Amino acid sequence: MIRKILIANRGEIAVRVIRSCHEIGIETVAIYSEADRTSPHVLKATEAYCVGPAPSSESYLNVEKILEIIQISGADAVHPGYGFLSENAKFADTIAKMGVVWIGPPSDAIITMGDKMAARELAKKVNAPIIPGTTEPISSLDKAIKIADKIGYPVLIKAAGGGGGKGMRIVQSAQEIEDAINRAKSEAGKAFSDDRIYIEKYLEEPHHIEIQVFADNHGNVVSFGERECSVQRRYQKIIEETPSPFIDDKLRKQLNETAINITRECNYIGAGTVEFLVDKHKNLYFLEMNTRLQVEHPITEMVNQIDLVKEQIRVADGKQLSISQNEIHPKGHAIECRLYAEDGFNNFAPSVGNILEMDIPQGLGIRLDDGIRTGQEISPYYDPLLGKLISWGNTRKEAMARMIRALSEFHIVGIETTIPFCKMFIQHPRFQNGDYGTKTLEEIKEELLETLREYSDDLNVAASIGAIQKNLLTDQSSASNFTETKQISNWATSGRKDNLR
Amino acid sequence: MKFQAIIDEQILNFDVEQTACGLDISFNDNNLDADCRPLTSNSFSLILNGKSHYLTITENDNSFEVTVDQHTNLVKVKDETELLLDKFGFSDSDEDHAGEIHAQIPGLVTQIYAEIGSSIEKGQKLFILEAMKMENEISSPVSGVVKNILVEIGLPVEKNDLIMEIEI
Repeated sequence: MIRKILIANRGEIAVRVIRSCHEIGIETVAIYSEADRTSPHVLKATEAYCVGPAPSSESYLNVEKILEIIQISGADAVHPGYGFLSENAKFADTIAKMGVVWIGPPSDAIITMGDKMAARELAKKVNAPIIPGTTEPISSLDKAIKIADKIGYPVLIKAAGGGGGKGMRIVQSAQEIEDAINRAKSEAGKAFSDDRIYIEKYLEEPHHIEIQVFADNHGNVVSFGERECSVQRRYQKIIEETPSPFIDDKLRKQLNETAINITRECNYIGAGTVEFLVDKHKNLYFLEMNTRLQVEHPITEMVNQIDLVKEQIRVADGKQLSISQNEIHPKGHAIECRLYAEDGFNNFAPSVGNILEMDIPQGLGIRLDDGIRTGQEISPYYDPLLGKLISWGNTRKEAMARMIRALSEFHIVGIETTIPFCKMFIQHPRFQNGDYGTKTLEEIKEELLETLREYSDDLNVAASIGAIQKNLLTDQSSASNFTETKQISNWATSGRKDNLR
Repeated sequence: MKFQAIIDEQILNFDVEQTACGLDISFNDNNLDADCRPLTSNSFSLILNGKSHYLTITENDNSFEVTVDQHTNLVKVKDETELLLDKFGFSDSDEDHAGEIHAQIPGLVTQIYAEIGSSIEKGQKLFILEAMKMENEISSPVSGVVKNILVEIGLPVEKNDLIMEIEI
C-alpha cells in the first residue's frame, strides 16, 4: 500500500501529481533545485527537499541525491512525471531494487520502446505499419547520403534516444544533409547523452495522432481513445484535441487495435502513449511509444471522466485497472492549449522574467493545470512549459468557444506566453473547420501575424491612454509615494470588530 | 498637459487634465469619454466610449508595453518637457541603435557565424544562442558590416547583453 510518493519532477506535472495524491490521502515529497525553492510544487507538497543547484544535470537529473532524499523522506514510491528521469530505465531499476515502487512501466519496456530502432522491430512483429527508413544508426555521412537518396527527399534526421523535437531536422536536398546531421547530433548529445541518429522518409501533410493506452499486471490492456496533436511548432505540440476531427470510426478502430497490440507485445504496465502519423490518404504509420504520462493527458481524462494519475498509482500498487474496455465510452469534446513562456508571434522565442500578475480563467468546463504563481521568476534553466488550459464541451463547437472565452480572460503580466497565439489559432477557419495538419501552423503563421497587426484606431487610443495613465502614476509614485491599494479590507475590519466584542 | 503617444510609427496627440474623479482626456481636440482605473500596479480597467477593456502595462526602457484585449504594442509616451526637448533637437534617435544585436534571453552562445569586418545581409544567421534546452538561431535585423563582436563561444550571456554591433 503506497503511503508517500516522491515526485521526481517540477512545474505543472509535479503539481498535477501532487493534487491526485492528496485527494486519496497519499503524502507527497517534492524535490527542488535552488532556483525552484518557492515554485508551486514545493509550496503544495507535504514535504520538500533541495536536490541541488539550478542546472537540471545537477538537480532533477541528480540520481544519487534523489535516492538519498527517497531514504531521508521515507517515500515508498516514486512518480517521475514526464521528461527528466521518466524514461530512464536504469533509474527505474535502481528504485525497484531499493524496494520502492516505481510508478511507471517496467524497465524492459522503457528500454525497448525508448530505443526507436528496437521499437520499430517490435512494431513489425505485430504487423503495425512503419515509416520507410533505417533500422540501424547511421555510421557515416557517405552512408547517410546513400540512404537518403534511396528513400527519396525530403528525409527526416532523428535522434535515436530523442523526443520532444530535440535533435530532429528535415532535409530537403543532399547539400543540406551534412549541416543537419551535425546539428542534430550536437543537440541530441547534449539533451540525451546519446548522439546516435537515424534517417526516415518524411511524410508530407501528415497528422500526428496518438492513442492513450493503459495496462495492469493482471493482463488487462485498454485504450482510452485518440488525441489529435497536429498543431505543432518545432515538432512540439501546442494544441491538442480529442476526438480528432480528421479520422473516421474505421481508422479509429484500427489505431486503437494497433496500439493495444504494441502495448501487449512489449509487456507494458501502466500509462503509455502510442504515437502514429496518419497521411492525407488516411494510411497510418507507427511512430513511437512514450513510456510515461504525456503532457496532454488531461484531454483524455476530461472526455473519459477518469483520473489517469490515480490509475497509475492503483496499477503500481498491484491492483487492477478500475475500468474495463467495454466501460470506456468517451463523452463530449476536449481541447488543450499549452502555455509556453514563448512569444508566439516572434518565432516562439523563449521569454524569461518575473510573473508580475496572473488573472486566471474559470467557469464551467475549464481546467487549468499549471505550475506558476504571481511573483515567480521564470528562469532559463528548464522547459518553457508553464501549464495547460483545458476546455471541455458537449460538442467540438462548444469546446472551442469555451476555450476562446477562457483564453480571452487569461492575463499573465511580466513574460510573453502563447495565450494570444493559441486564441488566434483556434479562431482561424482552418482550426474551426477541423481542417489542419502538422504543416498548418507554418502555413498560417504569417496570416495570423497580419491579423495581429490590424490594429484598430480604438485599440491604439486605448493603449495610449493606458500608457499615459501609467506614466502619470509612475511619476506620482516617485514624487509622493502614491499607492492605490490603501483601502482597508472589510474582512480585516470585521475581524478587528470581533476582537472588541 | 500635452502628451504624445507613439505606436508603430503612428503619432497620437492627447490633452490630459487630472480631475478629482480621474482623467479628462481630449484626442485630436475631441473630448473622449474615458475612465481608466488601476487594478494593480500593472493592470488597468479602461472604459472607452462605453466599451470595457482590460489593459496590462509594463515599463520597458523608456516605453510601455501595453496589452489591450491581448493585442500587445510598445507605446512611447512623451510629456511636455520631452516634446520641448524634441523641438530643439535634443532627442535620442532609435535609428542610432538599429545595428546593435542584444541577447533577448539569457543563454549560452554556442556558434558565431560572422567575423569582424564581414558583410551581413538582413536575415542572415549571426549566431546560436542556446536557452531552455533549444538552439535558437539569431539572424540579423539589418544589412551592414560587422563592427564589433562582444562575446565568445561557450560563454553565458545575460538578457539585454550587447552581442554584436553592425554598421549599417
